Amino acid sequence: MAEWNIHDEGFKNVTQNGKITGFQVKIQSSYYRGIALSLIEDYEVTVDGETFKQDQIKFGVGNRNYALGEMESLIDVRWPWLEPAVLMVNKPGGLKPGIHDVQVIYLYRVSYMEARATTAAFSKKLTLVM
Amino acid sequence: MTNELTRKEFLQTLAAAAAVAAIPTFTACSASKSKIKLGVCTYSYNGDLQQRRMTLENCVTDMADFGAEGIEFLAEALVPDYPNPSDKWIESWFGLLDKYKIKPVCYTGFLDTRLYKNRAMNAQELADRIERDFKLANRMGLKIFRGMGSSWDHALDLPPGSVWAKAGVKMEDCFDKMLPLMDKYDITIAGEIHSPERLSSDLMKRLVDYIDRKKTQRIGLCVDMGIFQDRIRRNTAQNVIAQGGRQNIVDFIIKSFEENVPQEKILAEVEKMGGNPVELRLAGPSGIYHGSYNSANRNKPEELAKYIPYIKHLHGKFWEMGEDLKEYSIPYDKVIPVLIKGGYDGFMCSEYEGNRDVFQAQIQLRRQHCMLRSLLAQA
Repeated sequence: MAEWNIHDEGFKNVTQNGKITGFQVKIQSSYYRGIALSLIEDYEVTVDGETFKQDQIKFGVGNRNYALGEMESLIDVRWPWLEPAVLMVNKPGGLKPGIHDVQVIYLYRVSYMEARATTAAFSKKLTLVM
Repeated sequence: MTNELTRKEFLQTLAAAAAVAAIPTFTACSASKSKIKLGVCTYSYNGDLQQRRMTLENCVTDMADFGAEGIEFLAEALVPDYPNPSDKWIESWFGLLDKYKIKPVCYTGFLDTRLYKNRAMNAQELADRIERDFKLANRMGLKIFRGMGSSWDHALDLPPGSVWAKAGVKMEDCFDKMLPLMDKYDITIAGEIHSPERLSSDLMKRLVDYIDRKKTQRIGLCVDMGIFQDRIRRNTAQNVIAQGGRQNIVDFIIKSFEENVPQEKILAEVEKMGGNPVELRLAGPSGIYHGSYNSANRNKPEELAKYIPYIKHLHGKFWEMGEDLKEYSIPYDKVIPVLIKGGYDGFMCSEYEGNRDVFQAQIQLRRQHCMLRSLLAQA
């Protein structure tokens, strides 16, 4: 998928109480409309071959972060079409500054398609400064 | 070596090009005898919108620039705080349309029947959900709601055994609940008839039967011109390979499709071959079978004639307008005369669904409107 789905902006380590607890990466929808969070079925982030699964990631929209389990019932909270979602990945110590191979996959239900959820997969080399 | 040409060389080059390439011109881009009006779906500009090259205002400016009269609008993409934008935003919407003299025509709508992962919604819940869109369409002055149509089958009845199919909600049950809301918000549903639908299908019969039985003007059809596709898009294989599809597997899928192998069987084979997600998508129901017809399964433009009284809106779907001002896979020159003869007098809104690279939509839409104006002028 095209490179604009993963943003250069916003790729950085996340610090809480003075400690690096993980990193974040912003993704923009490849679909053609915004969707309710309840339609998102799964996601994962892979950096330099290391895969982080849904229980290590929170999905951020509208300045709030959600766990996948919470999203299932959120039919009126939306991931707007042109607004990047911020994936907050738990990784104590974070990532080293430099260039990383980043891959993001997410699955969402499209009501008029087959039962199998639709997969969106993006990858890009991103530079982490701090 | 320099790449610069002298003025003389440049003029010679131009003259030579003009002599070789007979660039088609059309006699009439002026008034047509047909009453069919041309508009544009905002969906057409998705590549430019997603890559931040254009804004909604840029889209409206652009369609006005080449003479489009109306707009079809995809609210779930472009309305801030959907489905409840501020009054200020609604005011800016009308300001924009007024400034460029573009008519609000159609609301591109959806219905997420699978909103919950583990349960189906009943007809009343679905009607309540769609009411939010009717209300928004009404606020935006859009009187036609393009949606569902041939997607009802998938959205309610498939796959067999799923929670959605087991719930047994029928399209007709949903319409029963929605009709009073359509009156309330002055909305007409134009059910989208999209590939791979056949005009001879049972679903078409059910739609028309329902409309006849209810004697309602609130429900009709929006025929997507993609249903007349008569060959595979030129870039189908190229796109899949660019995204990581392997040539041998892509070739296998396309060959099987052309030979009319059932879609489920192609998918199973590709799974056995160790298909990657891109290949599986091409083989899946949303892949080649969703956007294409093979030779065993084509709609004929003449089949459209009997449905014309039911048509409330048309989708001018297209993927690739060449320099010959023809759509590579859709025989517009055979479909437009059927529409004219049948007396269709509503809008056809262009939906460009080809290459989403920036700058493409503006080029492609102009070529398509040039072709459409010419065909309409021949009425």
